[in-house]
Amino acid sequence: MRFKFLFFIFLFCPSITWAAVGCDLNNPDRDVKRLFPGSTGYKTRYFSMAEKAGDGLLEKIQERLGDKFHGLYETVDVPYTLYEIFKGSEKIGYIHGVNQKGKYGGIQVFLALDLEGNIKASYFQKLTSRSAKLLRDSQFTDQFKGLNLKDFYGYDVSTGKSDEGSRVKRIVNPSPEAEEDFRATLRCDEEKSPSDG
Amino acid sequence: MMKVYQLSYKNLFRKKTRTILTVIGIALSSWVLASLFGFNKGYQSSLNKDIDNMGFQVLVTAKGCPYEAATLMLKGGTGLRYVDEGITKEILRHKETEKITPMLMQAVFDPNKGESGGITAYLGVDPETFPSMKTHLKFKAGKWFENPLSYEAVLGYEAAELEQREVDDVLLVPEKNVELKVVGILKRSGTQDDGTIFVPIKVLQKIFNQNEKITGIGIKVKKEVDLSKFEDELYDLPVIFLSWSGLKRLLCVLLVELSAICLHWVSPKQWTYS
Repeated sequence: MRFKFLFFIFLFCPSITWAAVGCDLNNPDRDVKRLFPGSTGYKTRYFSMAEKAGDGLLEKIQERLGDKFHGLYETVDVPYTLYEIFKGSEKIGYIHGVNQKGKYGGIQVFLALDLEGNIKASYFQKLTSRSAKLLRDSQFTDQFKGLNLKDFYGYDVSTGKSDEGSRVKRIVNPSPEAEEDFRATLRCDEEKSPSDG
Repeated sequence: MMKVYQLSYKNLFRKKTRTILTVIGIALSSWVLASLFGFNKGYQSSLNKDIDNMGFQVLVTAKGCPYEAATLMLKGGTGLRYVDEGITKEILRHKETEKITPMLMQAVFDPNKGESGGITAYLGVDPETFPSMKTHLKFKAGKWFENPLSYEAVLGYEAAELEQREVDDVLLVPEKNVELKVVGILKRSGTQDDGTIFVPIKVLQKIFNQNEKITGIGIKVKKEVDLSKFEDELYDLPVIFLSWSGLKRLLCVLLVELSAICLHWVSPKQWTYS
């Protein structure tokens, strides 16, 4: 329960430097099966800060981050989509995506997570970048597998630095030219992570 | 006289199934009638709004263009039909023409959209004529391009949201690897313009190597012009003439016919109990 609460709270954490909004899978029936091969069904849930906790949550997050919401698209009423994944009647995980600002266009990153927040798969639904091929390659996306959302808490999105010994530090940028998009990708995962480790 | 009412009243209960079926039939047909009138009114109003928001009453495109959308999807943005830009001068010569705006639609296959790629489309517009015909478009931020030769883009609200672009950001044209500077983001208009990426037409022609080619011309005709006569005058040009008012009339007729068929089907007399 505690994890779910934290997961929900930090699902909506705004960026310190960039805007991000929620996004849907283009083809949920196909994509859920691909990201969660053992699943038999899913439920789609929509959240927005405005309807769940109002300005109180927004203020709490802004105070905690020391920053305000900004950007044209990052508003308190932005709907976020969370797919709850089932195997029979048993819930086995989540899929969640964030629409992130990249250097040349929007980046949509989805993570498939088990109930403990361990990453089972990651997927770029949309990516506009000169290094898109390298970033979408499984050599890069597989580096996220097995990490837990909590691992991203030690990652600083504004500087791109991680705590010593952090597992996130081991993720290698496949293209130095795509540093901005690489950091935006990590920023997507950071957004989903609980804060108190 | 009283006997007539008494007889009718008693008759209602003489064959209860018939009475119930008749009541259901009348209720159903009334419901369908009211729904169809509502649908008809809403559809017409929406159609009028969409046509008004087009900014022009007539669109001419290259012959064969009704298949343009299908071609676009099947061939990954290639195979569009073009007309020579010079045709605009011929159309302007007609006294019925008040204003025209040439347009060029181009699309690229973006392999990094979705699992197996998708299409990104761009609309090349003339900065001098297009904004004056689309006066309903308002800006959330920025403005229209000032220089017709600058590598700039104006984004509809939904296109900007999808691409997470703000004014002064850079937009990459996939496949061509060309960068465009975002100079304006439109407010939501509730039209197809919300999802459109506008680029100066000369720049788009250059990027896609389609110099002096266009895919459509928006024409604003003078008031009281006979559109069918105007169409006859343009018959010899290698274009298809699409009049929004004609299309509207056709759709309204189809809608009325559909309503009549539905009403006939649910009419109580079809359900007469014998």
